Amino acid sequence: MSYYVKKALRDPQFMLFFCLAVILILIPILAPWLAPNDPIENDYANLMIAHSDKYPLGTDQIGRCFLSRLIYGGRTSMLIVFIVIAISASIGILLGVLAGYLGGKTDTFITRFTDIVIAVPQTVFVIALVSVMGPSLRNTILAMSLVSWTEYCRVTRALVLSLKQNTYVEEGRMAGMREMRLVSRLILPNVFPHLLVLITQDIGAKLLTLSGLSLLGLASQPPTPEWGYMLSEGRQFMQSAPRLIFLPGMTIVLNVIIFNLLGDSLRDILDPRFIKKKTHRRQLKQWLENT
Amino acid sequence: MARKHLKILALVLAAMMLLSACGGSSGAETPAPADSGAKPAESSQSTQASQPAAPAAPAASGPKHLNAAIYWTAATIDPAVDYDGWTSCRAGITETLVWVNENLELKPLLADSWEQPDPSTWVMHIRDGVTFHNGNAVDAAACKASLERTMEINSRAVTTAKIESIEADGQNLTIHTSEPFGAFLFCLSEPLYSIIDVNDPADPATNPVGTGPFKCLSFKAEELIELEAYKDYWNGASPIDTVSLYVISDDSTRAVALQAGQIDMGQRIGAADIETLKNDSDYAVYEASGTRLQVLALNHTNQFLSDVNVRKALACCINYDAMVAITGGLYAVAGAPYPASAPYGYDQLDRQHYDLEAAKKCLADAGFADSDGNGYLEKNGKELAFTLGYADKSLATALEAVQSMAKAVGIKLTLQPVDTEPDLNEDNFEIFAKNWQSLSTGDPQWMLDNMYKTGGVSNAAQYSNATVDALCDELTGAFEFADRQRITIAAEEQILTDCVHVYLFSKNNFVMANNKVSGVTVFPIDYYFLTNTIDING
Repeated sequence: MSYYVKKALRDPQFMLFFCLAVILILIPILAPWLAPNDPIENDYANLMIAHSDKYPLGTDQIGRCFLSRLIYGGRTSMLIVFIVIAISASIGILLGVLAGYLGGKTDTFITRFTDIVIAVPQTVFVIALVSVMGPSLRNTILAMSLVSWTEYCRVTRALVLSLKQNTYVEEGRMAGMREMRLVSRLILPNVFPHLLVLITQDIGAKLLTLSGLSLLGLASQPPTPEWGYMLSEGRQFMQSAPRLIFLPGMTIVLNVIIFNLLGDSLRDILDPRFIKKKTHRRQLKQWLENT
Repeated sequence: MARKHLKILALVLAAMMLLSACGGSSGAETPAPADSGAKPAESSQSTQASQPAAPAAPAASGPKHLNAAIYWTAATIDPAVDYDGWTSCRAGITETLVWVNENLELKPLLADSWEQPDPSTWVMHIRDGVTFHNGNAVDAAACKASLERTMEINSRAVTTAKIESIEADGQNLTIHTSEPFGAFLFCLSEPLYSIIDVNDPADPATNPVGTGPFKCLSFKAEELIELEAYKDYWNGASPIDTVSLYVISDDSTRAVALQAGQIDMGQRIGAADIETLKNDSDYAVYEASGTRLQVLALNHTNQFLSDVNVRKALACCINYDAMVAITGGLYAVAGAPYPASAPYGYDQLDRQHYDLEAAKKCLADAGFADSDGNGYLEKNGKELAFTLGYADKSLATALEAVQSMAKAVGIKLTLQPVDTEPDLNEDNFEIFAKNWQSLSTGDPQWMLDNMYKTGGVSNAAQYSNATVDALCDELTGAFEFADRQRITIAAEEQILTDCVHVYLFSKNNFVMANNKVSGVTVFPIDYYFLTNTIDING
């Protein structure tokens, strides 16, 4: 792992996007200290103003501080995205390892099931699920998690299938490692870097899906600020106050771009063409020494 | 390396877009529309005589064509079907025996005079010289045939005006009602009772042969109605030769169509476009206070809403002036069952108004207190919480404001958007944002009977009050306007005392047009739109 860290530290492109991503994550976390006003407090004396000392980015149509709403909006959006990714990655990795490592009927069953879920267009499926269950943040998280584990499952399965052929896995088995330990010590650590790329790129994709759902009024419920919902609220003021759609729109675009580019640079670093076989053997040696 | 450059380029572009967005918005923005409600309406310049006046003689230049837009059609424009006649009336194809003018006064139209030999009988004289679009003369027999056809097709036509039988004799039309009915003439002004030539072979669903200033050439539902001016119109032919009446349901699309020059005039404007169009000298915005009320319908069978103190607290916690400012001048303050534009005592009533202290006191009197310190009140361990349903998505922001206003006194409202508006009944709602046509025919009785009388068909709140019931019955037999006014105001007082619903605001009616269009009148009741006075230059 330290090899990757060193390589990452030496890569200016990765470091740039990494720092930007950290800032994007820190802003919502530090919202209570950063936001100048309460995001759901109405100031009826200042409706739709473009700019003032108290409201740096103006107010929306019901007199709420727009900058504060943008900052707090990230809380809802990012939190949902991370929860969805945590749930779907957990499900996907578990099923992927089971399918790849056990093989046989388990593999066939899981692969076919994954194919069925993939066959349904994701966004349509999520919209249908949320409409049936009723629009709320909890249901949105549930619906998005239920359809987005497939990618993780497929990637994990493929990686496990190729990794388990490696001699160091054979060596581990011959050295008397139990199955669970074999998977957790020798296989998963080598699957994880590849999944990290997938996860990073998935942040952008999930953010877009979520914003789409909010735009349709299916995710965030008022008055909770959320970027997609802010976009939908500002839509009717496209001519008189374009900032009401441009600012949340740009925030979404910026987030998606930065997380996608971070994923790209991460993939460059983890490119298997540069991975030295030595690392795997070193891991095995370390384990043997410890036991 | 090329990849890296691409990424940097993408980032720079994103940053530039962000910057330009911030810059552009602050420049283009208009000041807060807080006082737009008080701004004098441009409609004053267009007020015309209470009866459509004869227009100026048409100019000698080539044929004049007008592109206009309305926001709705049903599958047909047959006046007898459902509410489809509202479209044929907007298009100026059909006319009724009487009509309600821009001051909400009842005026003669096809019938030029009437008398009442006994309380249940009306003798109406049909105007001489009126012809249908096919040239046939309009007499009492034609009116009888048209009204009887309508009553056969639409049960609403029988119940609304309580017509029992009709007799025709030359130009005299005699109508017997099932009981003495004070609102009879007002009811006849609804487009449902439009007069068409039932003997014409044309299909009324797509081509009703009426008496209005425009005749229908073709009709495509939810798309386009092609019209041609009827040169023998009894009240003076329109100076325009042809009209394409488009159907554009989305408010902003209609406004953009006007700005793009696709249409010359359109009915109804969205809140966001009012200021833009008013500030642009190329366009004129005509407005009149309308008769549609935006109401928070309260379900009185709810355990908390059955308490008048809770209902009063809801009514008092709302900052009505702020609500009007939020909606950008689209609405006017209401606070009473009938809007300010109606002659039913708006100014003398003790209307619902913003009073935070009164709201808090009402809730304290009702026994509510915030025992767990979460900002919302409770009583007997139950939180004072309601779901607030709505179907009109353009209200979402205004209702968010209502939500935060209710929170200020400790009432928790959860907004619940629904796709299609349900037929409300006592089991399917707690609070619902309803849009009511309070004076659909210029008369208050329809609303009182349906919404407030015990057992009324639209009384989903299950409101019941003996005084209001008695006043409704008294209203049925009252023929003099002063009597009807007095009875209605008495009913309103009782309704406000009981705080039956929360009356948020009344909707203003808007017509937008470019500068080439003249002679536009906007009416409080929105089923009038195209008239014979509208002209277009250039």
